[in-house]
Amino acid sequence: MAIEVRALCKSFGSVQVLKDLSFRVPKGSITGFLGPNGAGKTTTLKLLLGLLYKDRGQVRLFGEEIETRPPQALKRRIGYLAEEPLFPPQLTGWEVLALVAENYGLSNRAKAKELLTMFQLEDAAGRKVASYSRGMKQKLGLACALLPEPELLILDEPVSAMDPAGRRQVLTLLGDLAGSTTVFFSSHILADVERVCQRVIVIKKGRKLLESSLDELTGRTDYYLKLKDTEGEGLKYIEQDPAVSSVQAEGEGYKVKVKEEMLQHFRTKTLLALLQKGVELVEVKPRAEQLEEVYLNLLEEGDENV
Amino acid sequence: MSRLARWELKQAWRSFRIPGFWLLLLFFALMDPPVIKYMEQIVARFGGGIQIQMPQPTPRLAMTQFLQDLTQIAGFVLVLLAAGSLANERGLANWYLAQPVKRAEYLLGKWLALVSMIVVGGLVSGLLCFLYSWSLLGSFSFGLALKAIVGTIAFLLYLASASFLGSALFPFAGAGTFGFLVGFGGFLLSAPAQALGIYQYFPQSAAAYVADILAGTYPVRDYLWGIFSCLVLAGIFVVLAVYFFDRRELAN
Repeated sequence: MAIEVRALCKSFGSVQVLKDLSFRVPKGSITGFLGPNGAGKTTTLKLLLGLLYKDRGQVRLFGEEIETRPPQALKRRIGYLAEEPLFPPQLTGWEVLALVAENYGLSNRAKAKELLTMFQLEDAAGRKVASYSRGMKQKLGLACALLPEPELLILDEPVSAMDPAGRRQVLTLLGDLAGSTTVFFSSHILADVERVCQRVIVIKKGRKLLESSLDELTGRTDYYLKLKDTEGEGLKYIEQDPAVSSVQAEGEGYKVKVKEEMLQHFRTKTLLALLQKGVELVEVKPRAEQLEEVYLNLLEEGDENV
Repeated sequence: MSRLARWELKQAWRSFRIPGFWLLLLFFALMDPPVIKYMEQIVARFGGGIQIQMPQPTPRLAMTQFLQDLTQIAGFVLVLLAAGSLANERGLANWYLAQPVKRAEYLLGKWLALVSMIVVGGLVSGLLCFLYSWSLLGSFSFGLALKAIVGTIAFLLYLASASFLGSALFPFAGAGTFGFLVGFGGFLLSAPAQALGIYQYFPQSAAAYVADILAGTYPVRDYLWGIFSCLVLAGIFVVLAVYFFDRRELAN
């Protein structure tokens, strides 16, 4: 696991911001951290980085327990982007990256140049950061976070101030990092989360409402199947298929729940095998819902429980 | 630490904090000697007929005036500058400290930049004032001038460090108030402390006895106690600032 949080509690004065929060972020995954304003997302991210201190609970980064702050060696493996990134305002974009490189003990300037080009900041690199727009600051912040090629990227609303083109570019970049880098990011833009995340954690009022794979959450693992299957051969085959976890009759067809890790197998091999057995597939449709719908329902349900 | 101080100096230079502070010191260094020399004429011209007995203009008087301006006016500015060094930069501290930068390293980098600004500015403007006073008002002991300049710089370091500690503890207004109270508060106790014969151990004595040091009427050994107190207390303030900042949460 890249991040393991267990029974984390944090209060500011009499206000309890995190209440027994527990979750896990697997290595190499892209995990979205969702919740309404004031849910405790930024507090959680700051606790992971040692900028705030927990009251109780356990935080582990790459298996190492963090009491107050991650040790320097561990920080070298982490890149962070704050919600509203602040830099020394009188330094230029290029100097900010040079400062980050020094802080991480890096000497390679080629990577900094590559990132400036990638985020289309090369023309502004010689200008003071004070003159940057919010979107440009966010891009520079991302360049800073990516510069040390971290194993874990912690991003707080990373694309909230970017224009659509910038957002698209950054999301594609994050998507490309899947497998090699663990990305843990909070966002209010659910379409972005849906686009790049494999997993989501939803919190509200400091409590976890849900931790799930995105496919499972949005029902992308649920299919509606209507078969022309007089012998019952097709149904039998589906019930025994290793990719299927349950089958329920629904209307004239079946509601089939597919194992998340075998979705690809189901979409290709299982359905093909049915055809090869002479079963006619009258209707095959995923029962996926939009993340936004699921999220809002979840928050409503959460209101009753939290 | 010195690496971060270098970046901090660059930032302070470009934000006009260093040039502004140095220009203030330069202003006093270049204004005080001619003001002392021509004070009688200035008063005669603008005094509206008031008769004031002016002391004989001497380079010692010009130097004393300069060092008192440093203590009072530049000291006031310095308290405000140091009060903002941490208190106004919580968000920036978040950015630095999420990287592999130790809190002590970050804080000492800022303090070193402040110290460099004070020491370089104080020495250069002090020497300039000495040379200008010499050329305008006649010769004067360099040794005595240097001792008084060093004493004043030590007091400014003490002042800045007190305010710096305040900055690690409180928001800007609180930090400034703390800096003023700790930095200048000792002057209020000068009468009872002198009566008890312990004022030379007060850091404020490094600034209070400047005129006597320049006149050669105050024992250098006693004056060194004041400088020593300034430097030791400045060191203690910075250690305390590191201690408190290390335990502080950075909420925003």
